[in-house]
Order: sequence, then C-alpha cells, then structure tokens
Amino acid sequence: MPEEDIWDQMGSDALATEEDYEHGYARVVRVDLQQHVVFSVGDETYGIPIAQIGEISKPMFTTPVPRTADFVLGIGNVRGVVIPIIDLATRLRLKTPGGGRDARVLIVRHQSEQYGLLVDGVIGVMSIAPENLEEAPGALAGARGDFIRALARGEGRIIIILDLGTLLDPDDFLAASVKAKGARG
Amino acid sequence: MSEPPKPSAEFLSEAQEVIEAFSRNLLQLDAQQRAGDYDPDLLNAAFRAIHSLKGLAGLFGAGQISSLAHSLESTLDSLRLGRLPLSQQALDVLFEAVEVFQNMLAAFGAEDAEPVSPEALLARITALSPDDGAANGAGDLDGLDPASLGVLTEYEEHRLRENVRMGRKLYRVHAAFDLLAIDVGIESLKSKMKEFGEVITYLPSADSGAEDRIELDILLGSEFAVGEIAAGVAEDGVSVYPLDPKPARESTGPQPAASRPPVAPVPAPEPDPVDLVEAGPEISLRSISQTVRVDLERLDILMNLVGELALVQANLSGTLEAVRGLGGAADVSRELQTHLRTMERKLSLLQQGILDVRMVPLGQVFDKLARVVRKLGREAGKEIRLNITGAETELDKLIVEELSDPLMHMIRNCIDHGIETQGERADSGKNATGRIDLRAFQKGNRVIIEVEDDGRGMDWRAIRDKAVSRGIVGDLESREMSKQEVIDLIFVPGFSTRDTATEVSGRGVGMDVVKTNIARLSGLIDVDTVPGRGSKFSITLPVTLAIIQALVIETARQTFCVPLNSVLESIMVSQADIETVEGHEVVSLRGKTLPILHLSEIFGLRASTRYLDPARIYIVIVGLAQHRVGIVVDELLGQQDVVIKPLGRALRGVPGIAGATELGGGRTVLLLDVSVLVEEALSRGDGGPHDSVPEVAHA
Repeated sequence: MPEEDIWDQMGSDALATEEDYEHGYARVVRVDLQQHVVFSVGDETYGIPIAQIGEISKPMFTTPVPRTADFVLGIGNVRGVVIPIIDLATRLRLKTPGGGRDARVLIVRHQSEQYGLLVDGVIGVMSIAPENLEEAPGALAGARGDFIRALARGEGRIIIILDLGTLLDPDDFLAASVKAKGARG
Repeated sequence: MSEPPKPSAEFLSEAQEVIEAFSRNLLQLDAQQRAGDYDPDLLNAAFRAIHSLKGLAGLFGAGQISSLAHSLESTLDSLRLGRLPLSQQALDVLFEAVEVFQNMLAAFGAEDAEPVSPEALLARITALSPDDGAANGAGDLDGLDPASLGVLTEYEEHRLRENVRMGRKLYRVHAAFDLLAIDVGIESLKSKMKEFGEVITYLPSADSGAEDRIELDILLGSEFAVGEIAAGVAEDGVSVYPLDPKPARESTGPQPAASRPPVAPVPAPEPDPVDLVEAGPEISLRSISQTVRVDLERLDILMNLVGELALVQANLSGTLEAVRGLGGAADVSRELQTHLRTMERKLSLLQQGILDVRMVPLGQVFDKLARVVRKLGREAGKEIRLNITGAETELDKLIVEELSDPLMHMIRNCIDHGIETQGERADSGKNATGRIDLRAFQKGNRVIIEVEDDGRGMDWRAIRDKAVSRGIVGDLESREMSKQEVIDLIFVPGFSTRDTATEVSGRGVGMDVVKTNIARLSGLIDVDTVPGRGSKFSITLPVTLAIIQALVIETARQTFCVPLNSVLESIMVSQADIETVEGHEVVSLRGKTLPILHLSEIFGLRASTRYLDPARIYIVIVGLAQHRVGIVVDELLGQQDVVIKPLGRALRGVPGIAGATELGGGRTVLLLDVSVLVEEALSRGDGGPHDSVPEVAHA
C-alpha cells in the first residue's frame, strides 16, 4: 500500500469533515481512537501504532551481517541511513519465512533509531478504540508472549499489537555463540 | 541546589571557550611567574575572561557559575591591582577554578550528573583575600604630581608604582592622530611601544590642535633610554619625553614634565580616558565575529551528503559508459565526460573542505594536560617541566576528544611511575627538574603524538616478574619472550607495576585502557624505554575518522572493507606457504611468523572451497597496537575512500564489525573492526595474556 493511502485513511476517522460541520457535528468524532498499521505475517494479523512507523517500503537489498541472530536479515540502506532489517516471521518463530510478492518492509522508529521489519503484506490502517484493546494478555505464555503488548478485536479478527521494546531488544541481535563468548570474557 | 533553567548548547560551548582561554592565560602566567616577571596584560585578559563568563552565566541563568565567577573576579581584580601578590598559591586556586568550572559545565550538560559544589574552592578564594595596603607602598611616586596621579585609575596607579619599583624610567609619549584613523594609529603605536615596556595609560593632550586631529599623551614605563625608544616608535607626530621623578620645577600643568628636549606643551589630563581604552575590546569583538560555531552533527549530515553525491557521480559515470555504448553521440558524451571530471574535482574539494572544518588543533587537549602536569607535579612534590611542541597540529574533533583520556593517563603514568623524586634524580646525577615532552606532528596522512619522560624508564625484568606473579604469563613462557614482548605486557589488562595504588594512577585502569581507546581510533601505540633514561610512548593516528581509506576485499562472495590505516600490506602466497603451528595456521613473512585467520571461518560464512585458488591466496596483513595478523581473503577489489556509517544500537555490539559504508551501485558493505579480529586471533587458545574475548565487543 502506498504511503499516501495510509495517511488518507488516518484522516477519515479522527478529524471532523465538511459533512460534520454541515450537519452540526451529528457524527460523533472520537479523538481517543488509536491508528494502527495492520499487517500479516504467516497466518496471523499484527498491528503497530502508526506513530511508530516512519514509512513502508518494498523489500530492499540487504547486506547480511555475520555473527547476528537468525532473524537479522542484515542491513539495508534507507535514504543514506544504514538500518537493521528484521525478518518478523523468524523473530516471532512463525516457521514460515517472510517474503513473497506482497512483502513489505515497515520502517519503524524506536528510541530514535530506525529499524526495518519485513512482513508478508500490509493490510491497512485501522482505528482501534481503547475499549477494544486487551492489554498484556497474561495467558499467552512463551517467548512470543513477550513481544505482545496487547490484543485488539476489530473487523472480525484478532490483531496482535507488537511491543517494539522487546521485539527490538539489542541483546537479542547477537548470535548466541558470540554472546556466550562475550559473557565469558 | 534548586533546578536552574537548562542552559543552551550555545552557552555551554561559549563558556567552554572562555574557560579555555582563561586556562591558557593562567598557564602562561604560571610559566612567567616562575621565571620571575609576568606580563600584566595576561592578568588583565584572565580578569576579562572571568568577567565575561560571569556575564554569560548570568544571561543564561547559570547562577552557581555566575557567583563563582563573581568571587574569582574580585580575586583577579586584587591580583591585577597588586593588592594580592601573584603567588603559586594564588595560581593553584585559579587552576582549581578552571577544573570546577568545567565540572559545573559538564554537570549542566549531563542529565544525571552530580551537582558540583564550589564551597571548598570559595573558601580557598576567601582565604586568599588581600591584606590591605600590602602592595601599594611598593613604588615610590614622590616625583609625580599628585594631581596627575589623581586622574589615574587604581589599576593604572598600581602599574605606575610597579614600574617605578622595578626601576624602570617613565616616559611621556606624545602622539597626534588623524581623527579618522585613530584606532589603527593607536594600535600600531601601542604594539611598537610594548616592545620597550609597559603602556600605563593614555591621557588626552591639553593643546587642542587642528580640528581633525587628536593628540594624546601616553605614559610608558621602560628600561630603555629615551633615544632608543624615540627611534623605535618613530612615526609621524610622535615624540618621546622622559619624565623625571624628581620635581624639577613648579609646573603650570598638572603633569610635572621636566621636558628637556623640545619644550612641549604640558598635558592637561582630563579625567575621562575611557573612550580611548575601549578601543581594545572593540578589536577583539571583531575577531570573534569571524568564527562560527557549528554543531558536529550538522557537519556529519553535510559529510553524508557529499558521500552520497559521490555515489551519484559514480552512477553518472556508469550512465555515460552506457550512452557511449549506444554510439552516435560521441560529441555529447565527450562533453558530458568533461563536466563529470570537473564535478569530480569539485566534489573532492568540497569533501576536503568539510573535513578541514572538523579539524581542531591538539592544543585544546594539550592545555588540559599542562594543567594536569602542574597539579599532579605539585601534589607529588616533583618539579616537572612540560615541553609542548606541535600544539597547532590538527586532528578531527572527534579524535581530539577521544584522545584526552588516554593522554591524561599516560601523563599520569609519567609523573607517578616515570619521573623520580627530586632526591633520586639528584643521586643519579640528573637535573632535579623532571621533564616531560609532549610532541605532535603530522607524517603523511597520520598524526604522531609522543609522550616522553626523562625518568627512570622501565625495567623489563621487573615487568616480567610482575607479569608472572600476576599470572598473566607462565614462568616458562616468560623466559622465551623478547625484551620488547615483555614491555608490551604493560598493555595487558590487570597489569600495574606498583603494588600500592596511588591517587595519581592507581585507579584500576591501566595502559590496557589506553591501548583499547587508541585502537578504537584505529591508532597504534608503541613504547620505547631505556632504563634510567626514560620512556617514550608514540601514538600513531589517522588524521580523520569520518572518511577513511579502505581496502575493499571479497570473501565467500561477500564484500567487506578494511580500514587502510590498519593494513600494513597485502601479500599473495600459495597453499604450500601456509604452515601449521600447534593447530594454528601461520605464514612466514620476512623471517617473522604471522598467525593467519580465515575471514569466512570466523564469520561463519558459507564458502564453497577453502581456497578459491590454492596457488593464489591473498593475505591482508593487519596490525594494531603491537600485533600483526594475516587475514585470508578471496579477492582484493581495490582501495576506496569511504564514509563510515554507524550501525545503530542493535548491531553496534557485533564483534569484528566497526560500521557500514556505501560503495557504488547502492551496495552497503560492512567495515571490519580490525582491532577485535586481531584480539580474537591472538586469543585462540594460546593460553597467553589475551585469553579472553575483549570487552570491546560489547562496548
């Protein structure tokens, strides 16, 4: 999906339109809705708050970086800035490797640095009301549970809202063998 | 302390500059004071520096700095008015103030820094306070007319007395200036007069001459005779008269000028010489506006842009080739090529220009070190002279910043371990004053910094015994080591030649940290020592970091860059030349055995064969600090200037990778961290001192 479309959609819900003014604000304009970019990885649907996403691009050429974890595809060059590119499917242990015709790279901003997340396809932008968000689902155990900030219900499916803090934890980027040596030294 | 408003970066950098200038004044004053006589202008400059710091701090709401500056200002005022003698104790307090100011600034810069408390310093400043009238009796001014003394400011009067006390003669220099060119004229006359002595004050002359001229009387204190001065300052409209301190006759004018040569009109001082004195500050203002402070980040952005432009240019050349292939447009493509060449030249000029802007003189760090030497020397009770040469040598700002800690540590080592006590020096027939030389000079595209002392040097046997007792090397192994290898042990973590940690250098960090920091800057460190004669540390650094020359190599079909400044040479061998020693591959190079490592192996890259061509194996010899290692690669693709790009938080910890860079065609390639690779090669189970993965890996 081109970038412009996302911004169009973003405007449609949250902002008052001509129509709203004409009809004396007949429609309720909610301001507490959170915009999320929703995308698919494997068979599942994920979301990331739109504020954390800088742009969406087609998969770019990546240079593999030795001694990194399996989910690190390498480094890519986005407008002169070198950023790590992550295969989200591998990171989420979904078995199915990322890629394919609809694959996209979400350029996210985390702690003022950029990262690229390879996803299978971008579905769109969705406004999620706070009451539809189920924060920190305790029942989801395992490593994947750490990456989940919340679950959201919308348009008949469950959207997993990812937590960039754990997803992009620098400690996980190094290959296990290198880390073991580092701990010894 | 209550939370003050956060001062801007502008304040920090400006205050830093003022404090550095202040520190330089102090260092000069210190040297001159030791020599016996100091230039009062230096004291004035120090006073002005603190005065402007006070104003600056007030402006930006840095109350603590402002109030400390205020106290110092009073002290400096007393010093320049001679109410307080300029002693080493006074200088101690002033030097301490430099440190406190810098700590305060650092505390402003950092979020969670501990607030710096100036109380101790303030107490010492108060302790200095002048005993009234101590100095003012100094020079006897009997001969001068009280009325003329009355128009002098307290400072001028003090300087007048000082000059008389020092046995200088006083002169009145009469000068006339064209109204339009007065600032230039005064400046030129002043600089001429300074060679003969001290300009005490300017007084407007009594006789009003022509409308467009201003006449002045200048009071000059000098050891020279009237004839010499007159010859030295010879200029249109300038005449010199001696002032006789003995009252010759009742003068009509206020100035008791016993003017012998041309009966000059006597000056009638008016009590407002301020306007003229102000000429000085105006000139300094002008010079300030000539410089611009620039955020390093902005320069980085520009640098990146230039790098990208170079890529665009490379792509254009590719397009040109393609156009040529089409045929039929020979004229156009020739023209295009000419333009491209011009663009290439201009681009490299632009690149050089930006690099030049990043350059700062090493003097910035050397000044700090001079303060350290003075302080530590006094604390250790050792008389030490620091000789600095090459302070004007320029390096990239980043490198200069990173250098200050390692250099500081090396200087500390010199003072603590190197230079003997005065008694020991006397016993061994050396000059009681220890000597540390700090030299910097450029050699090709590298800068070499040397720290040399004339102390006791290093005893390699003592180092070996210590290393064995610390378990750094085995006893047997140590017997096989050469002298130089033993001395290099001082760079191993955990080594320190003195058992008792002193306040000066026993802080748990040692030369290993110095080595690590230098290596991080792609530098080499060497040590040369002669027992009883002293030690010399030499640091070799690249001039700049942002753009480096790289050797482009390929291994297992992946391209990497190796910083050229750590590459010693590239050799080609055949498989037969590679031997094995205790399971490790080595090659012999000019009689020396070098360990080699396969990049594809240590990086776990899938290589189809061990050697692409067993008859032509390329080995890149890299060296860092004291070690040399060969890296086996498949291809050498050439040399190139590359712009280093950081890898970001997530990948910065990957050992062996220093960064990334763009080559032509939009390819991003990795830049090897040679220091880590060398460390790893040496640590491969040789049981030696390097048997650990360096911590650098996780820095």
